[in-house]
Amino acid sequence: MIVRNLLRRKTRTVLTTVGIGIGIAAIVALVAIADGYSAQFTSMLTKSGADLTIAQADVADTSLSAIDEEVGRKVAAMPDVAHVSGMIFSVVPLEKMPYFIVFGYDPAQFGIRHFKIREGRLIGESRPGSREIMMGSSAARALKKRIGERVRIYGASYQVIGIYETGTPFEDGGGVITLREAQEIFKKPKQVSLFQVKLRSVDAADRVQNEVERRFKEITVSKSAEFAEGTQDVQMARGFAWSISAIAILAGGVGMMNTVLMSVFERTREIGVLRALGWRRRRVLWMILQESLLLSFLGGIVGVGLGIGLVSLLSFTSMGSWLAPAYSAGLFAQALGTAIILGAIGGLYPAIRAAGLSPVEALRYE
Amino acid sequence: MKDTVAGAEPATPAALGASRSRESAVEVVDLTRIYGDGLGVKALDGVCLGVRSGEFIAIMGPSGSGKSTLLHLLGALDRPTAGRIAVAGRDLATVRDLDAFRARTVGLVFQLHNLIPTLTALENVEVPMYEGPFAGQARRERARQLLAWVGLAGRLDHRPGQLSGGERQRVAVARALANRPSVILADEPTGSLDSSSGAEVLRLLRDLNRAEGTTVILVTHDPLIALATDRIVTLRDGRVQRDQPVADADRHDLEVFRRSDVGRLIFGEDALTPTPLPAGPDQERQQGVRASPAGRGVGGEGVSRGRTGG
Ligand SMILES: Nc1ncnc2c1ncn2[C@@H]1O[C@H](COP(=O)(O)OP(=O)(O)OP(=O)(O)O)[C@@H](O)[C@H]1O
Ligand SMILES: [Mg+2]
Repeated sequence: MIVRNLLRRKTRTVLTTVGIGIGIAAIVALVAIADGYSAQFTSMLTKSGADLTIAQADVADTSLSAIDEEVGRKVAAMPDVAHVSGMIFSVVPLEKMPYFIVFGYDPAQFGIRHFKIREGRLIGESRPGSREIMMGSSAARALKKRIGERVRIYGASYQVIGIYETGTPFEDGGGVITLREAQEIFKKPKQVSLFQVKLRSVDAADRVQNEVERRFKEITVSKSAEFAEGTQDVQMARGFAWSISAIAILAGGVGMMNTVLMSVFERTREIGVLRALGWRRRRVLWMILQESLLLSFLGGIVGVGLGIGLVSLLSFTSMGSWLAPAYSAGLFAQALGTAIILGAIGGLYPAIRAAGLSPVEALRYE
Repeated sequence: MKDTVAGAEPATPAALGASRSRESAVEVVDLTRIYGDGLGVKALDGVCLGVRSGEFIAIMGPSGSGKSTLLHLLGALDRPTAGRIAVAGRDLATVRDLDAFRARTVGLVFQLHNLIPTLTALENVEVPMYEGPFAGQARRERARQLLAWVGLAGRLDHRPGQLSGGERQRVAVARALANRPSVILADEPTGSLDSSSGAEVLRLLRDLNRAEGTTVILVTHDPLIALATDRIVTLRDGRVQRDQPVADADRHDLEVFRRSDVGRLIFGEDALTPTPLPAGPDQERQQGVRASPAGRGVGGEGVSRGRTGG
């Protein structure tokens, strides 16, 4: 009966389903992208084998973080610390790629070791000012660059001397120059964006974390695996994802309430008949609520499909090389759960209206 | 004439059902219903009416005289402004579960069939049974038997849109009988039908009344239909204007009536003997008959009858 009631106005049912679907698609797509962003960030910092990550405290965007190299040297001198590796990263436009991430690594430190060279060689410190760059495999493919060719970054010309792959889209869609040159072109003299710290023993993590935060002002130390979630970038991306989704869902929800309400009005007489034949208010209420729940559940399913489709469309755009959407069962459950809650809330008012109809009034309707 | 012997027929167990044996089916005292506040419309103005159990009465009267209002009050669809109503021995003012009352004690037939358009005939008949004593397979089985009883055994899976007006109204009658009500309230059930389909529907109600002793209160504008009942109550401006029994002689003497569809089908040569309805489980319990899950067994075999238009 529920299904047939929805099939009465097929177009309207489909439109409403799509309406909810768009809201849910927004959640799926944006949250998957935000989750993926966070996961990439994490893999960038953990593939190097670092236990801790040090950044400037309270920066809006992690690429704005700046810490004096001096701090790194002092941390390296601590007894529990094995190695410290500094790195700079910044987003620059590069030819056809509007978002090209340039990393600065010191060839002598451990951070550079997780860049696996596919062609050519690693950048070296041998010739200062040599302006060498190694490029990520997907960036090289997108820009059609081969070993020996040149790219311009902020007016300076760099020669491609190697192609690497790490498996993290952020890195594979960017390039690596020496820390020294990065400090120069990104105007961070004797500074780095982040320090990655390897400990002699993981058990020392908490101790070192507290110690470093106590000794140096305005910096924050996180376990590398947890660093990304704590950054303003990821939190903003997530907040953004949910607020856009909330708007889309609100629109879908209002659309759904409208649909269910209209169908209740259209069926006033019928509902009067049901009540006259002895149906209890709660049976009528439940019937309408079930219709709206089914509608929103369908919307949820459509939304998950649309969301995945949307992300795969986005991967063809200029941002595509960055996207590594992370779909999890939790995300899908969240999306469907949101849809169902939407159905319950959107359907409740129409259902209460329907259940509250007086049988005589309803029978006289029209 | 056959109708006169109907009461003397070998009583079916159903006809002895306890709910039918109460003396008074409807007792209405000083019933007033005013719509709106203050200077509202006095739809009913001090109506008194008693209907004995097993009676078949017609309510007539000009448009706006309060016929539907009275029926709605009897069916507990509406509350009176003043006055008392008792149906099947229960004072409606004291009935706590009006939904159960509506579902089980009265059966409603409307002028427009008011079937649910998305449901099949069978499912429509099942609608009131969600609040009644029949569940699961028994519900389906009873709906099937009732549809067979109204001559629609071959139309179980048709939607209302696929049925003729007369067939729809027969489905509506079957639906009204779903939970074995003791009083049928029919508001112009033949109002939108041609005279022969109307006569068919009327015959169902009359058979029901004769074979089961179900009280039937029928609102009609058609004097020929009214003549087929036992008693005609006429309302005017919310009051009872006339209240007269119909004698066999009245029907006999009236040439128009004898020649009408109603007269021929119900009182004429080819009129059929009423068949008892399929029984329900609680009835069987009262009878001491072993209840089959389908609620069949008492009158359930009498489902096939030579109806026309089927
Ligand atoms: N909800 C309502 N609000 C106001 N007035 C109403 C309402 N329902 C009925 N009435 C009035 O009550 C009076 C009786 O109406 P009712 O429907 O009982 O008449 P009726 O005898 O059934 O007429 P008909 O033969 O046309 O069906 C009419 O004057 C009608 O306008
Ligand atoms: Mg009326």
